[in-house]
Amino acid sequence: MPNYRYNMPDYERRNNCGNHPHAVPRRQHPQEYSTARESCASVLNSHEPVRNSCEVPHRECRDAGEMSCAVSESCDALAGMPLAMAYVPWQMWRKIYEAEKALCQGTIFEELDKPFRGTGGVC
Amino acid sequence: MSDNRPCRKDLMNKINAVSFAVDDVKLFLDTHPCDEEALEYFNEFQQLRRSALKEYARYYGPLTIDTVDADECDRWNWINEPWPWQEGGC
Amino acid sequence: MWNYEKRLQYPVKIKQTNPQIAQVIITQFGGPDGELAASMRYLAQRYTMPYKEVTGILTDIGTEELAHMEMICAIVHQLTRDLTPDEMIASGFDKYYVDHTLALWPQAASGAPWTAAYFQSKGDPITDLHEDMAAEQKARTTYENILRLVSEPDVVEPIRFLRKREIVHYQRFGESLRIVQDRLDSKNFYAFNPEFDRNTSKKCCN
Repeated sequence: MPNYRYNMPDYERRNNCGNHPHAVPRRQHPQEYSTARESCASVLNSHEPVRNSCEVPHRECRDAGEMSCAVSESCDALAGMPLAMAYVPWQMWRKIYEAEKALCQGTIFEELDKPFRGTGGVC
Repeated sequence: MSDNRPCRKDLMNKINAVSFAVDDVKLFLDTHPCDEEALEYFNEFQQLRRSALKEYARYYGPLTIDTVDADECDRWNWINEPWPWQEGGC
Repeated sequence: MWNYEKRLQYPVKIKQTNPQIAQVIITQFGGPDGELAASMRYLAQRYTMPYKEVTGILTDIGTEELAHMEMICAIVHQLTRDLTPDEMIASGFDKYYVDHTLALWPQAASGAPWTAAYFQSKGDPITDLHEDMAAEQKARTTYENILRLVSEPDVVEPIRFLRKREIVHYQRFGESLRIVQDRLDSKNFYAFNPEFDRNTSKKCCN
């Protein structure tokens, strides 16, 4: 996932409005991918729980006898990002509420409008 | 004061709405300083806010120090009630 | 720095007093995850932040939190207006009243006084932004806890508004962290502290 500056399609055209920082690389070394697959296989064989974002249950993996639970880059939206760091997705300008509604909702951005639906009280 | 003056509550609601739009787009622009659509949106609502504040001050007294007109009154009206946390305040 | 506007960011018009819930809501004034702590946290961190976008966010959100503090104080004030001694004793509000009458004083729901120990200003952009993101989530959770205890619409509406703002602030701090990452070497974000280290030794291995 590219960093914020690469989410701005006309970043280059408008002369950046700033500096040119180092890019965050999209992919790490290719060997890491095959290493991940191997470790997934060994985890499956050891009957330990597999954690990945494929959402394939452990039982199905074993029954299928295939590498369907293998950790692949396409399963992890953050694959290739540097480790030991947190990443919040970059917001784009879109889906803007009309002003009166925005005040009621607590934001002008529909995409940041996340109501609370817990029990008790009024929503 | 004539009866043609705008409704105080309506004017305050308008100020709240346009000011909130400025508040939220301001934060967006802090992290997206080059976003042209956001800049345009800011300019539009900043204008609306300025004229609404001026209109409110004219009929109901100033909400900001910049809209105080000490020439208009013979006393300092900045301290007039209601304050924001009082009934009738906003 | 300052201008002041004689207007709450979102209106507070509470018709019915309720000292019991006031003692809970006051935690968002003087409690560990409240608006005063949030404001002081962000305003303190901004002085040494080396990236102008992040300094801007810390200043703008830091001052917005003061506006939220004003809303919380307005809520507590309107919930405790004109209370009788009987009402105070019945609700337990008498413990607060004896020391403060009906004035606002920054404390948590437990009665613990506000303290700078509620926040950190660590002087490292990555660390401080993680602190800020956590603070917004803690505030959101606190508002949700309050929403489970309140049903009066006059109180629910401004609390709901304040909760939504925490989510927006979280997104902005998250973007600020992305901006900081962009200015550092992605092979090792922790090689040095851009707020402090002037020279970095390339000979350092590890």
